[in-house]
Amino acid sequence: MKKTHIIAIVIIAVTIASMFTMLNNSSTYSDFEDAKEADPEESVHIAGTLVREKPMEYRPELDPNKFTFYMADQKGNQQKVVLLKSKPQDFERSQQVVIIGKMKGDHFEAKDVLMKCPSKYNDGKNTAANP
Amino acid sequence: MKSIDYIGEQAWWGQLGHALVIVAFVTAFFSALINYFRTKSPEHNETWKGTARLFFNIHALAVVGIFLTLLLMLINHRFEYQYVWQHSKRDLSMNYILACLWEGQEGSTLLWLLWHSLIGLVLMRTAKDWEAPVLSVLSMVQVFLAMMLLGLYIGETHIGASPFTLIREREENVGLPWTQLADYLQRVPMFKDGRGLNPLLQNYWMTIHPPTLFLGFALVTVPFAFAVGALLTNRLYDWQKPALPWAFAGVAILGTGILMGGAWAYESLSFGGFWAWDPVENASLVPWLTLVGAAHVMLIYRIKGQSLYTTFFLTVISFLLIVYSTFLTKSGVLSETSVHAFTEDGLNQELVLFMGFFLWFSIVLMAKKNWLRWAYTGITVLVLIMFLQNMVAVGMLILLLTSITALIIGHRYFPKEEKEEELWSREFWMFIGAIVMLVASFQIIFYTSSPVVNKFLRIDFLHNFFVSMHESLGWKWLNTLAEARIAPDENVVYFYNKWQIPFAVLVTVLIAVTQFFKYKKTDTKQLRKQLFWPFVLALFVSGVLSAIIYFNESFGTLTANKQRIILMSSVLFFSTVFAVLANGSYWLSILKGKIKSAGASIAHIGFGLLLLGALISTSKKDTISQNTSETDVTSIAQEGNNAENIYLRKGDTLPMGEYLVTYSSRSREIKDGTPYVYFAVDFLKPQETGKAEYQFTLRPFIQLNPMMGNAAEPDTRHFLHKDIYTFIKFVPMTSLEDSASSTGDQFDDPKNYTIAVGDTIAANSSIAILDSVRKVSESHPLYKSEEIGVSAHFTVIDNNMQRSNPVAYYFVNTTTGSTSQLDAKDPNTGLKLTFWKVRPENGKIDVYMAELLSKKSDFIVMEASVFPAINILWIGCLVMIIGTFIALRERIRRN
Repeated sequence: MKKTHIIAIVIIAVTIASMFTMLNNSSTYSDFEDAKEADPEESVHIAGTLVREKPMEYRPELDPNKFTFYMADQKGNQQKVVLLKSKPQDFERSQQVVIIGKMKGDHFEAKDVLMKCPSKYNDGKNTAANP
Repeated sequence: MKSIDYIGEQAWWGQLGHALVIVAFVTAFFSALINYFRTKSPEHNETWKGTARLFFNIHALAVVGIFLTLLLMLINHRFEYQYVWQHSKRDLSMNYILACLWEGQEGSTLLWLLWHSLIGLVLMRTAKDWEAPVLSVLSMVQVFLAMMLLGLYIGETHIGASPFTLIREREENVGLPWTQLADYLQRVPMFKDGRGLNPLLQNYWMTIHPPTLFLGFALVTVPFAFAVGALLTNRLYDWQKPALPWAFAGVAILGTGILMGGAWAYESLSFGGFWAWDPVENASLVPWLTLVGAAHVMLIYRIKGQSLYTTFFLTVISFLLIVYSTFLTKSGVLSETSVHAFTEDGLNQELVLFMGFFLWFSIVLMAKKNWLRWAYTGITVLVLIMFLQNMVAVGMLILLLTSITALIIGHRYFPKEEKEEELWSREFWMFIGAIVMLVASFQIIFYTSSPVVNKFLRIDFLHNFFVSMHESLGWKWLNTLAEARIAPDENVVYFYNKWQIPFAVLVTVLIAVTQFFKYKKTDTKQLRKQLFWPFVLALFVSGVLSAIIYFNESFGTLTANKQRIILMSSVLFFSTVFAVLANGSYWLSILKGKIKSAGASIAHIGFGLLLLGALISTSKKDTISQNTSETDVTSIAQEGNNAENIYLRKGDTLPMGEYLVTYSSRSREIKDGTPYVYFAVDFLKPQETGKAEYQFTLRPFIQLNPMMGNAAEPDTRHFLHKDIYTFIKFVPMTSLEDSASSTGDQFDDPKNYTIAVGDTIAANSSIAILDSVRKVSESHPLYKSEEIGVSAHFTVIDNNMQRSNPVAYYFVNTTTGSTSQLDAKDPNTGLKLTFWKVRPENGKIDVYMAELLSKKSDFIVMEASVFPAINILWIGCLVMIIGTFIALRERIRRN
C-alpha cells in the first residue's frame, strides 16, 4: 500500500467520524412537546417568541443568574422558561428567541439564550417604506 | 405618468456610479475574454497585449472611480441615495467615513473589487509570461464581483444590488405616496439625516479590519489565478515559483485580518473572549488554514518537485472556500446560528452562480480527460436548469457530490511524480502537515455549515428517505437527519476545542521537528541528537507548568468532560512549547541566528506562542464574578447555576476573586450623537491590616444604540501576566435614561402594606420600620380642631446603615368624614410613605410605599473574568506576522 493511500484513508476516516459525531453529539432544534419526552441528559434548541402578556421576572438582588419568562414555540405552545443567566438587555425587543437547555418538571431550564432583534446589522428597508 | 422634478436631488451621482459599474463590468468581461484568447493562442499573445492591458487599465480606473464616487457621496451627505442614507449621518466624524463605505454588503464587495484591481495592475507589471492567463482568471472573478453591484433588472429578476440606487427607486418604496412628492427630501423628516453608521462599529477597528481581511481574500485569488492559468496553458510545472510570494503574502495579510477581528472582539465587543468559534469567524479561518497548507506544498514542489496535484488542489480550494465563506456570511443562510452574519439580502443567486462557475471551471480543468469534462459539464448544466426552476438546495447537493466524484476520478489522470517521498524527508512531513491543516479545516467548515446541511436535508426525497430509514432502523441520529434539525452543540466552544486540539497537537509537533529534516533523506541519528534538548526541555517546562496550573487540587472536582479537555490541553501545552523551543534552537544552532533566512523559524515560533497564549488564557479563564450578595436574601442559587454574574448596588463593596469591588458611580456621555453610560467599578485589595487599598477603576459601559439596541462594551485592565476583563450584563432601565430630564422626581408604582408597630417593610435599596403610631396632640403645629390626626413614625435605614426618621400623617374630618394625608418623604433614600388607613380592629395601619425612580435600585449585574497569559497570544501574533514578512521578503529577493 502506498503512503498516499494511507493518508487518503485517514482523511476519509476523520471526515466520517466528524460527520457522525456532529449528528450524534450536537443538539437538535425541537419544540416543547418533544422536549418533554426527550432524553433528560440531552439539551435541545427551541426557537420561538417571547410571550409578552405573561410576566417576566428578574430579581438580580435575589439571584442575578435567574430570569423567568414565558415563551411560545413555533407550534404555539407556551411554556415557562427559567434562564440560568442574567436577563439579556433589551429582551423585550426580541423578535425571535432561541433557548438551549432541557425540560425540568414544570419549566424549561435554559442554559443559554440567543435572540434576534428587529434591527441587527442590516435593516432600514422596512422603516424606509413608511416614513 | 409625467415625470416629477424632484427638488434637491442630485441624480447625476447615481448615474455616474451606475455608469462606472457598467464600465467596470464590461471591461472586466473583455479583459477576461481577450486574455483568455491570448492564453489559448500564444501566436496572438503579443498582438493583443496592448488591447488586453487597455481593457484592464480602464477596468481598474472604473473601479477606483466607483470607490471615489461612493466616498464623495458619503462626504457630501447625499441622503437621497439608499446606501448613503442607511450607512452615514451628518454629525458622524469624518474618521468613520471609510467605515461607512464598507459597512454594507455592496461596499464590502466594492472593497474586494478594488483590491483585485490594484493587484491586477501589479501583476501586469510583474507576471511576465504569466500575464495573460493570470489576468484572464482575475478578470473573470471581477466580472462576477462587478455583477453583484450592477443592480439591473431584466424582467422580473434583478442582477446584483447597486449602492447607487435612490431611495425612492428601491423596489419596496416604488409606488408609495411620498415618492410622488417633488419635495420629499424637504418634507419627509427622516430624509433630513441618514440613519448613520451602527454605533457598535464606530471604532478604528472598523476602519482597518475589513480592508485588511479583504486584501487577504484578494491575495488568495492570485495563486488561484496562477493555478488555473497553469491548467489553461498546460504549464503545470512552473507556476508555483511566481505564485509562492503571493501565497505567503496572503498567509500574512489574511492572518493579520483574522487576528484583528479577534482583537476587536476582545477589546470592544462583549463576546467574552477573543475567539468564539462564531460561524463568521470560522468562515475566514478555514481558507487561511488551507492557504497555509497550499503555501507549504508549493514550497515542497518548488524545491523537490513533489506533491504536484496537492499544490493545485489546495490553491483552488482556498479560493473556493473564500467564495463559500462570502456566501455563508452574505446570503443569510447562517442567520440561525451566527450573531453577526448579514441578514438575507437577495444576493443568494449571484453568489451561488459565482461559486458554481469557479467550481465547475476548476474541476473541468483539473479533469484532464474529455469524457470526464463533458460528463461533469453536462451535470452542471442540469444543475443550472434546476437552479432556474428554484430547486437551489437539490442543485447544490448534486453539484457538490458530482464535483467530489469528478475530482476523485480526475486525480487518476493527473500527471504524477515518478516516485514517492522518502519517509525521513522534510517534504513528506511538510506534506502531512498540510494535510492535517486541510482535515482540520474540513471539520470546522462542515460543522459551521450545519444550516446548509439542514437545507439539504429538507429536500423531499432525502427527507422521505431518512424518515423511512428511521422507521425501519429506529436509530436516533436518523431522526435528526429526517427532521433536518441539526443544531450546534450546546457548548460550541467546547465542541470545537475538543476537535481542534488534537489537530493543533499534530501540527505543532510537525512544526517542531520538520525543519530538522533534510529534503530527500535525513540521518535519523543526527536528527535525534538535534531534537534531544528541545524535547527534554519542553517536556520539563510544560510538565512543571501544567502540574501547577492544571493538575492542582481543583482537578479532582471537575466534571469528566472538563478533565478530558484539560488532559488534552496539557498535551497541547507540551507540543506548543516543543515547537517554540525546537524552532528557536534551529534558528540559533543551524541558521546561526541569522535573521534574513530565519523567516520560517520566526513565524513558527510566533504560531506556537499564539497557540500557547490562546490555550492558557482559554483553559484557565476564570470567571471571578459570582453572586456574593445573598445577604438579605433567602433564595439559593439553583443546581446547575453557572453563577457568572455579580450583583452590585451602588456604594456596596463585595468580594470578587482576590479583590473587593465597589460600584462607585455612573456617568453619561454623548459621542458622535450616541449616548454612552459608564459604570465605574473600583477594585480594591484587602491588606493585612484589615483595610482595603485602592488599586484601579474599570469603566465598562453601555452604548445606547438606537439601531441595534443597547450594547454592552467591556473594559479591561491589562497586566503583564493577565487581563481583568469586565462587562455589564444588566442594569435597570432607569440607569440608562437621562436622569436629569426623565425620572428626576418620578416615583415607581406604590405598593400597599398592612403593618403593625415593629413591622419592617423592604424597598429595593432600603428598609422602613414602623416605630410607633401616635395621635396628633393639640400642641402639634398640624393640629386642627375639626380633625382627628394620627401620625406614623418610621425609621428608614439605607444600604450604608444611614438612619432617618420620617413621619406620615393621616387626618379624618370629624364633621364631613373626609380624609387627608401628609406623606413621609425621605430625601436620602427617595422613599415615600403614605399613611391612608387605620384598622382599629387589630391595631394595624395601611401604608403605601413608593420609591423615587432615580434612587431606586441603582445597581449593575456584571461579569468579570481573568484571562491569564493573554499577552503571549498577542506577542505570538506579532512574531508570526513579522516572521512571515521576513520569509516573504527573502523569497521575493531570491526570485
